[in-house]
Amino acid sequence: MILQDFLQRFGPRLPEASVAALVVAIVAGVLASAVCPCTVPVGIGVASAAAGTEGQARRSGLLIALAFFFGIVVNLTLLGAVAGRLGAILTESFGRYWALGMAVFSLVAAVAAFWGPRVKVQRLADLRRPGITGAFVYGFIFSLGTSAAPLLVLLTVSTAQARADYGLVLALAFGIGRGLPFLIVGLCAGLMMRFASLARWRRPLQILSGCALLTVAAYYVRAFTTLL
Amino acid sequence: MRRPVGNRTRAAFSGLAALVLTVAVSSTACQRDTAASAQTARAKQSEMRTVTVPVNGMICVVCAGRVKTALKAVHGVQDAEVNLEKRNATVQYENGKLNLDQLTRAIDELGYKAGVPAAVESR
Repeated sequence: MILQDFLQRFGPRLPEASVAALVVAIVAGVLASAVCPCTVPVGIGVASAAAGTEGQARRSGLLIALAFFFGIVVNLTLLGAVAGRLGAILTESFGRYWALGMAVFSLVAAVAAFWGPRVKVQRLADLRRPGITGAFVYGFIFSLGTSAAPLLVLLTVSTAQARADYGLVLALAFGIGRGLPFLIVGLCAGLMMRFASLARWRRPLQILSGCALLTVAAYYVRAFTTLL
Repeated sequence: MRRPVGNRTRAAFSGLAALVLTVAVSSTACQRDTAASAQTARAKQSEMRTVTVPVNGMICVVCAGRVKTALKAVHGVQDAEVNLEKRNATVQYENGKLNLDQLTRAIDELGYKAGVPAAVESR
């Protein structure tokens, strides 16, 4: 409600391609994160994954948070470019399989979190790159099901649907706003881990991270069943 | 004491007639029941109504699932489908079994804002 009221109030009055329009799109993204029920479970999942990987290797947690953030931004920018076809990913059947996909992805991430501490250091270093790619893909998929609807509202009220280039810029700004809370939470969790005594906290954090991701998986399994 | 043959034949005929009558009556009743149940089904079908309820505040697939579950839990609702693109829910319900306010209340209680339900023309 807050998001729609905000967009109805500020969206149509904005001059095209102004800084104010971009600020409104960013704020709309942050508001979308604030009212979306998926933000808390996925935010906890991202924070715990960032903290868990930071415990294994320095700066890897920060990279995980950044990769998730860029996954959201890139996806929303692409969605802005195909604004006219957004309806295809807002159907119930798509939503059902999206929720199932999120559940499977979260489960895989949870298994990786539990398995991580048992892997040797060199092998972990090899796995760091796929972990970052995984976070990027996770952010990309996450924003498909959670951000297309508010993006469509934004593009409709700002009359940007007709102009592809302007719609793309607004979608990029919206994506930055949508991903910002996750980036902040992930960065904070990673930084906290860096200052903590790593050896003592590594194992409990790994377990916490795995449990958080399992909870996210259960959350999306429930979302899938409600749409059956 | 033995009964006369004429009496036995009459008793047999009476029994047979009663059996035939019972079968005929039950068969007619059964046919009437089938016709009645078909008529009830037709009447029930004709009493199904469909409305579209605007829903504001839905952000994601999880929101759509919540609205769908809440609507299906309302007594009298047969089916509910949520459209995120159009931001509405299409509800099929048995006429007379629910008040439309129950639908809007179910949506409002979740924290979303329901609009005025509009009847959908039957095809």
